[in-house]
Amino acid sequence: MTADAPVQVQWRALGTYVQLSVSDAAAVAAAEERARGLLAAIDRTCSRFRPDSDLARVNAGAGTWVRADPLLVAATTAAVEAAGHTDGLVHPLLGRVVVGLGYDRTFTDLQPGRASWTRVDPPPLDAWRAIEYEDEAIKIPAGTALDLGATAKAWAGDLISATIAEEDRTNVIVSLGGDVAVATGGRRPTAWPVRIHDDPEAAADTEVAIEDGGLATSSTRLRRWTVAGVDHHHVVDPRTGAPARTCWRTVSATGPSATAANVASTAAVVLGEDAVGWLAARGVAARLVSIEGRVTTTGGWPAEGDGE
Amino acid sequence: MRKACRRSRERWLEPLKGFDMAYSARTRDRYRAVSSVVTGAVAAACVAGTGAVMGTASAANSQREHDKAVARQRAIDAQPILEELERPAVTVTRIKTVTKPGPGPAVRVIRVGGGKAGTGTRSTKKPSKPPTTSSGS
Repeated sequence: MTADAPVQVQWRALGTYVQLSVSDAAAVAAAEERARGLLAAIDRTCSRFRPDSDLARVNAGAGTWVRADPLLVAATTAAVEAAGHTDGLVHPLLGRVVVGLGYDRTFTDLQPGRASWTRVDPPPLDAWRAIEYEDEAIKIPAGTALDLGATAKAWAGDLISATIAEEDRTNVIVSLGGDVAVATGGRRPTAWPVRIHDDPEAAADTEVAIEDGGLATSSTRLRRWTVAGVDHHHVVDPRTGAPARTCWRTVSATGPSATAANVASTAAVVLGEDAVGWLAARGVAARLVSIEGRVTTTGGWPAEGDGE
Repeated sequence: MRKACRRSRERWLEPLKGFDMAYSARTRDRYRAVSSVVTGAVAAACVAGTGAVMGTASAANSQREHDKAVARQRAIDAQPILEELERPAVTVTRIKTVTKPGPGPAVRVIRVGGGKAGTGTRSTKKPSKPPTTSSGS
């Protein structure tokens, strides 16, 4: 194999799809092994659905200090920072709320048409300020539960791409369920094509190229479930404790990292009509698709016109 | 693995020795701030003759921090040592992830709406690389 012959491998992890491309085909096997190892470690430490995970122990011990793997501490740190940048709109303590809504197991294991759900009052918007952490321990407020679903995949993408670029000296792009992280391993940057979908099974809405940083898409069209006849989706508004009632079906945003991009796209979905001003004020390049299919762009995202 | 856990516990005990209680930069900074207060208070007391009052306040602050650290350590020590399988080692590059939304990479539109032309900046040459997907998750 020759250098600069990009190849891609795909598999599933963390309950979603993983796509990994490297610019140096000779590095793909090592990069895939590295990514799989990291994802396994992240699942073992940060999963809400594994009773043996460090996160599950932290939740069970809410109100007290609990030992935790440094990976969970790092993921929690990113989630707390995300909450700070969004005034709590991207909130890491909605674990009990999403369980109440019926999302209490991996999405593929959710039973369609369950009979009941429980309305759980969300924690205060600033409850995340009470999260404390040290190198190998975390303490969350009593009566709350961590759910890193809003940030962990993007953070994992940043971690994986940085590790591969550093260890394997290759340009790399990784997508974890649509949260895309790009890193450059000491080479000339690669213009990576990224297809943006409302649904990964449907035709792409648009295709762009990026050379670094991150790009994330948040959608209310996926991860939907019905409980007691009520339709839910996974983007919860921490102000109400219910799935966000938003005018957007999909928001794609870029950022200096996948985490930053994901924080922007998630906050935009929650903000609804206020999202355009919020994104523009922060210089975020974003593409917002309304429920009716109207496209709005902000920042440096090239305009596409309406009604594509 | 039990042995490893014990080593881990010893590492947790270390910070309490010598009253340097902190691991993280955040807490260390707090400790430094307390130290600065102590130093400043002593200096001010020498000049103003109110050393006793200031020194007492600083000592109370330090004692509170110490008590909190001891309570935290006791809470951690009260947890059972887990008999778990040894975790496989993974190589992790320690990164400081940027989490603040802001300007990102330049976005170049290659194709819009299933091949339909858009009005934005578009490339005339499509990169010959496997496309990555960004869909909602």
